[in-house]
Amino acid sequence: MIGNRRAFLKGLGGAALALPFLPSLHRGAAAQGARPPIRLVIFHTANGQPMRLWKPTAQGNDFALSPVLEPLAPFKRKLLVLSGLDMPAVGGPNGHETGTSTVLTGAEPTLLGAGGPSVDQIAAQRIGGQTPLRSLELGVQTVPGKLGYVSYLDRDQPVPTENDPARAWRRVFGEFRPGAPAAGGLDPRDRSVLDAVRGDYARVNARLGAADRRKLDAHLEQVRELERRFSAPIAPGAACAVPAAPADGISRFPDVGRSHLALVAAALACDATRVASVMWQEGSNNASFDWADPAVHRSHHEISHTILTNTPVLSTQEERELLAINQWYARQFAEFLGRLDAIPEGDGTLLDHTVVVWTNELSDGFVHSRTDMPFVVAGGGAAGLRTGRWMDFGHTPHNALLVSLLNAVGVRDVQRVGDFGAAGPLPGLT
Amino acid sequence: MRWSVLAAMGFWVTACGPGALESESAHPSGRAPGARFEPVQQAPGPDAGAAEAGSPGARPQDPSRDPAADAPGQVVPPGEPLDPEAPPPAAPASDLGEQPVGRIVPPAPDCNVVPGAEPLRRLTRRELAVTLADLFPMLPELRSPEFITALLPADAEQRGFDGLSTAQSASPLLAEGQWRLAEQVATAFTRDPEALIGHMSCPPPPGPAPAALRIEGEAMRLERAQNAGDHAWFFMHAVGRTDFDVVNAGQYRLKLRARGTPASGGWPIVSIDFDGQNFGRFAVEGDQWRDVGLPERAFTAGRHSVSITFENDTIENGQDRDFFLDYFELEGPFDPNRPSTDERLHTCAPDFLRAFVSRAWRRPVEPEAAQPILEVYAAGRPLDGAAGAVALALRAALLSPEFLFRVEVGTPVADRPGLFRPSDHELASRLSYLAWGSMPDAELRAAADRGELRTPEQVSAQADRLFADARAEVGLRTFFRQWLQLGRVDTLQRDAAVYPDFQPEDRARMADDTLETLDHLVWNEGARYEDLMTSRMAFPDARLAAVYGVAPPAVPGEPVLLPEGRRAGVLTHASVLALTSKAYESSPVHRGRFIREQVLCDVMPDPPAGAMITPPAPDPDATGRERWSQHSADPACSGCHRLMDPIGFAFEHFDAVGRWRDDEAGRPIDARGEVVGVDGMPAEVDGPVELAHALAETWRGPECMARQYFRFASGRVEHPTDACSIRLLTEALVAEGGSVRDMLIATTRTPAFLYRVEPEAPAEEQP
Repeated sequence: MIGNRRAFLKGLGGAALALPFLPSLHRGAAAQGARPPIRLVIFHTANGQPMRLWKPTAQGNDFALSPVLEPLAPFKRKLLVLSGLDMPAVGGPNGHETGTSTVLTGAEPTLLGAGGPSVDQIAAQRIGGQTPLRSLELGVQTVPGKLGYVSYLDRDQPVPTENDPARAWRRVFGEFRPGAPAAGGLDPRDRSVLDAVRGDYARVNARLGAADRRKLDAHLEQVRELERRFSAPIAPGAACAVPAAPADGISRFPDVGRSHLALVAAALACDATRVASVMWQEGSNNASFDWADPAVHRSHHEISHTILTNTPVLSTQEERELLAINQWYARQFAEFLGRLDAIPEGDGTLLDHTVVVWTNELSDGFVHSRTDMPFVVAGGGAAGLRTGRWMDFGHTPHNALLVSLLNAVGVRDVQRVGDFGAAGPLPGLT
Repeated sequence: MRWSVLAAMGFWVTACGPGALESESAHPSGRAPGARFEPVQQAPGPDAGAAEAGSPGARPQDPSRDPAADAPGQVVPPGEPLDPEAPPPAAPASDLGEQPVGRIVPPAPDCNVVPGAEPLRRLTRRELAVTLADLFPMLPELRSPEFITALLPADAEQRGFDGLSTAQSASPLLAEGQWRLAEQVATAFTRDPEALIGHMSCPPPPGPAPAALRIEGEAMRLERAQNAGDHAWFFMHAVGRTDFDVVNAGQYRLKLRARGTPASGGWPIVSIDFDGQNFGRFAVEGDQWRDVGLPERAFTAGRHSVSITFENDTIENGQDRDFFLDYFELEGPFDPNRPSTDERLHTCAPDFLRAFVSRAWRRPVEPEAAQPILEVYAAGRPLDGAAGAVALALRAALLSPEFLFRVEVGTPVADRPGLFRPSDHELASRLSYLAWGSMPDAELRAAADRGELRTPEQVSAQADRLFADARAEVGLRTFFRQWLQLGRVDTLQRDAAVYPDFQPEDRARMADDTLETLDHLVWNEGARYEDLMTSRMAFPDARLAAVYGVAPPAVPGEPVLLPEGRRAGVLTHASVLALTSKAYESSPVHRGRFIREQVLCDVMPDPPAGAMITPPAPDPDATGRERWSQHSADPACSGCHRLMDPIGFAFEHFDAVGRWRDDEAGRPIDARGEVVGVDGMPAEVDGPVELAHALAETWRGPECMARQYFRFASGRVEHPTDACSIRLLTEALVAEGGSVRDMLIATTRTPAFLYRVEPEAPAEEQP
């Protein structure tokens, strides 16, 4: 049952090793010494930010990091802190759901979720075809449902996350580990199965009505994607080091998140994918964050809604707890940036060749606000992003940011993402 | 319809305004212009007899509701169900306190309408697991739930149910999971080619089947050797002899099971004679038991003799060379031209694969459709042999949409475009997936083969049989778990400072208590809706019994009766009370919302964007009721909260782990609740028991349960014209002599079950 491809992959062995740098594998841009590709990573946290503690002071180059963003200080020169971006989607009754469905799509939500493809999936369609995985979606204790999906292949087509670290590792470095396909390309066994399955979809489709056909077609498209992946030439980057497989059964929130981020960094370095997202639990979840600060024992969501007076000013205790939670996230973000920045690539580092975006489905959580959203963009220097600044855009739909992200990763012909705002990217980022 | 349309009309802000209390269960009955549902023969209600011959041509859509009358400007595209998730439009203000009480049965809906459109359903992850286990009963690993959860992503949830077809979308993760699942199942099935011959029921080769004849060493006639219990000990120049009978002449394989002790580096040598002629001399080189293979030999049928002689006994240098014989064995006869395992597999593979796809795809598969699977086999055999090629063909069959989806083509109903009657085998699958969440069994397949699923009586008879099977309990548990959101109990967290007694291990028992109670009530007690809502039965362990304030069951697993006057029905179970609480206190809002949404099928919007969402702070000097009453007095909040909080107040005797309390903050609990605008419920109730009994008496309660089951069973949110189907289920729940079990079976008599309306193509994206 093991084809040549698998046999080859298995031959690479198990735990941490640098992939052999076989000349025959060097077909990708990264390996040929050409300019390394630009990657896109989404780092999504939920329940909004205490905006008073999030927004920096003094715009421009001399901005001072806010309390929430303080842990990002070592990377300040590689940050773009963005404010004044709104998410105008009206959405449904649940503010968390609406924000989650629109934050990466810029589209008005539907009953089932997002009204269009998300920026990471647009990027994956355009730049993901040269890597084994078009994109990698990881979740930290997320639920399956509208609240738990930020990535959408298209309208009403969420991309579920892999939440288990060991399985996520296997997905990237196990069966689909970077290696080369057998000399003849697709394994003949896999080819014959795929041919039959594709034929079967066509045969069944011919008997169905248009709506059902559309559903089957979406599934068939993913069968084709398997075929592409099995046939794709692989070109691991020079800095590729396959990390050791995580133990089975890792489930503690911070452990899962750290494992995911380490995996994303390794996957980027190995050019196993160029697009990734990590979603840290959905909005209105009930996890307690006692690892962030022993004083925090209520759930993030509950604290985000807890104020003692009827004015939108947080009391000291709640402020402290929200700050502790979001600073904890900021430390995870900084740690991830550090991983990327430690890997030399081209004239700079992997971080310079990666656009990392910290997103949230809300701004101020206690009123489910979706205006003046808290976005942080990091890295991307090689894509021309002029970092080291705080920029405020008044009240601009965040769709322009989504366009900017696509432009940064080389998708330059897309001038509009989602339903709102004027065409074109955010002015002044590059 | 898009949210923006609703929201633009200000729905979410006004939905909780005065009088907007109509639930989604209060859809007006159909007026059915030109769309009579004639094919349904067993339509219930007084209007059933009024069915006329179908009038031609109306495309099935929503004939029961004029959108313009509900909401000016609201556009409902043809064929798209009105979204029941949308809060109902404002209705004339009802006067609180004058709501009628008791079971107010609304007029029967028009059953001469077509049911709502039913999109193609993919097997849920759970259905896939059970189906594979039924398809491969010889692979026990498939019965472990982890087998499939480790491979496939969880199904997206919509409305608390994970099987709604509209929420099923494709993703790379899913496709990879399906790929690996098919590969692992096929590999496990074909791993052992000898076993595979049995799995595939390959016919035996011609000639007598080989058999083994074993002659135990200790059973031989021994000379100078000793019977050592389970073997013979040859310690001198010993001989063992015996006669044996060969039934079938032919070539036999021979072996000894033996061991020896060496002397001066030399191992025992035995000489074997058959029928007085020497067969050969053989060394036994090892002091552990081992198989000593001998050359094959031909035997004629009849009696033969064997003797085994130990030739080189000695004691040298203090080493005693001995020979030990466990047994001597002949196996045969073997035909030298007998087909190999691979050839045998190859001979029977085509028939097996054709039969397999018919089972896996749940219909008699025509030869052309099976052909590609056979071609995969043919392509694989030169690469991997017959067993490997069977695995390859199985992978293709298990990745086919015919396996992964519930493909239904059916027969068009004359003059009713878009309306289909499922084929016999499609109906068989509808039955088995409804009752068991799995593929039809052999009996159901046979009934479909014979065309015996055509009349309502035939369908009901099979439904009776399926729901009487233990597998139906598993299916119904899935429904209860999702309807009552019991899955949320698994991850409950309680603040240890407030509830030091709560242990994470308690969570599973809390959910199981409720599920076992429901099992018992439904299957052993023939419960109706009111019994679910009022029975004091529960299945706690000792720790949960302490929460309930009752003695633990005398025999573990036996039911107990919860305290009279304090608890009634599953809504007073610790599971439901805890999952509607916060970590550190009970939550009247969440309990009220749970009753509204899960039990009454109302939809409560979240607070409007920009509203202050500020729960009252904990205050040791104020009761929850006091704090919440003050909080919800804010006019911006009270529109909705007055529909929820006062219901929740009736449960304030229960804390966040479901334990009874008489007072809070030093004051006695006030458990008076108010039920605003629920048909059949009194406006005021005092405490949970009164509330539960009042709920049990309504039409709204059972109608909502029927509606939830309809969603679970049909994998879709109901369309207004499904009112007829839901009515049937509701009546089964409340009728004299009715029961929940009747509701399950009644499902198979509904138009929505017996017919399928194909969905129209979704409208292209709006610019």
